[in-house]
Amino acid sequence: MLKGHIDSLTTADFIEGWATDDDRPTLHVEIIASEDGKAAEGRAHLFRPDLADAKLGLGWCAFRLRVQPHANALRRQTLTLRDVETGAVVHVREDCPIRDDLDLPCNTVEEAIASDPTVITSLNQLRGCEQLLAHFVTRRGVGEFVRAAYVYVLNRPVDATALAGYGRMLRTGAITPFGLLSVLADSDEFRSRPRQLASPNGTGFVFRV
Amino acid sequence: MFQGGVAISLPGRHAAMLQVSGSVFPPEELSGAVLPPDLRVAANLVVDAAKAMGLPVRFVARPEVFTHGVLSERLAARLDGVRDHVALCDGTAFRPLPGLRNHLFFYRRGAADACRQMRRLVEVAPELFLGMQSQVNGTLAFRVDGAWHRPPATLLAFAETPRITPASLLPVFLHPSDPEGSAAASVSEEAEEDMPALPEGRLRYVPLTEAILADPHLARLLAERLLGAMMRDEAPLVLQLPLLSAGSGDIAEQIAAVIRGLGSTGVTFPRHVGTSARWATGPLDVAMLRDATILVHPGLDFWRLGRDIWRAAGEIEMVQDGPAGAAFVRLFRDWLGAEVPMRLLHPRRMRDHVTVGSVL
Repeated sequence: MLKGHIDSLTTADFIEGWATDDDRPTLHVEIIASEDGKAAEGRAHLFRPDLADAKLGLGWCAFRLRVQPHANALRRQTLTLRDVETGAVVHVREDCPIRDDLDLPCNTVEEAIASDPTVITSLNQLRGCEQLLAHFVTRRGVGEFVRAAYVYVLNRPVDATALAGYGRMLRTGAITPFGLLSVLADSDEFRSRPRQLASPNGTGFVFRV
Repeated sequence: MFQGGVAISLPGRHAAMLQVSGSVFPPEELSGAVLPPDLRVAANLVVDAAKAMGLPVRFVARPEVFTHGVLSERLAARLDGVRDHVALCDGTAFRPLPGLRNHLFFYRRGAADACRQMRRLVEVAPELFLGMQSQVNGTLAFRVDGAWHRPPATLLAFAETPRITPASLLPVFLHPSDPEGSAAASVSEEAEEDMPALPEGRLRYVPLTEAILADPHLARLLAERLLGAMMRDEAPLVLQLPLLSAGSGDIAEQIAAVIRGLGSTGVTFPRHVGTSARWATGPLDVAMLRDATILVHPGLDFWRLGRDIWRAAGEIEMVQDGPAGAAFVRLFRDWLGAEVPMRLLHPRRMRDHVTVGSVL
């Protein structure tokens, strides 16, 4: 089901909101202003914790798009959020609020990574994926999930002992699928060789069935 | 039921091993932790109930710390608005929180050793339970100063049975003298491939627990039913494997424990696979249980199965032996709250008495 919302314009000339569709991982959206026409276009694929808590789009369906001509010119217009692929109207907003914002430059590697929507900066950003992970287990089985989790987090095949042990824990419910990812990400092995983990938008995210 | 918000406390021995952000933490932090399966399901049951009522939930890692003075005030401040405390109890300790309405949730009804510990706790310190507001899905009764008390029950249920993986059905080999070998044969891939389809007929489904296997009368009844399903192709029988307190979760280990329990009854089993009998590795799918007969025993943590399963059943067989059994039957009827036909079983009375004539 297609859902979305225009939240606000910002003083740094962005428009923010979210859009998600159960059948598609990320949406390509556009904002149409009643007088100026197309005001912004881009992907709804950013992480927002409140969306994860509300179980919307795995938490990875927010957008922050630069608008033209500028936010002040748009605040009195009717703004329409549209899905580019189907042309469907997702949300219409009049008198969109405008909030204070800074367009901060991206000067460090950490800032660049933090703004990259294809990798996660903390495993907590996958907390909206619990149902997706459980679905993977149901469809592909416990063994396949443990194998996928090892490749995803530790970038190596699982050993037989871990496969049997974590398989048992998953089957009995001693650990959840998300819990297994947390345990692996908290392991000495991962800490000694940390790596960027793909977000649900990234091609390296192996849990979409 | 609950008002303002719910604080949930975990048994100390499990809380001590958790990596959480503090002594009061949100439920989301548990999803990344390793917990005993029965404790996780119990916690999820309370969390789901509170969230369905739109109430905030907080976990308290070490409730014994916050008994009085400044610490108690600190906790009250952190649990702003929370009025109810559910203590998840494994039978070893019950720690009420002062200033809150305390509810006991003894979640290990299915573990015989935990039931013994709980009885001992109630005998040694019944005063602990006096101020209890209610007990979650429980039938605890205790005596203080000559008067019996049974706190009212708070009935919590899953609408849908929680499952991580779909249940597998495995063939039944049963050689009581070789539980491990029989279990290995049941879980082997060849056995699963050669397994014939279950015959037609009303399915009989028995979710097993350690407490059920520890009841010699019921174990005998189950062994005879299993024998009937293996030898005489009676109505199909599916036994759901129990979670073992000291087990690793290994399926072969669970099968071996059931074989030991049923083998101790003295019933002799055939040396071939039973066509009408199966082991189930978890709760069956609702579609399979439509119109089935489900056996319920006071040693079953029935709330682990959702109302979807119970309401799909065609009949529920309730084991009622002794006064504790009668209280359990009342609790279960209230908890289910639906018109599913019930039949009472009395395995103790069903035992044949050995007489001099039968020995001779």
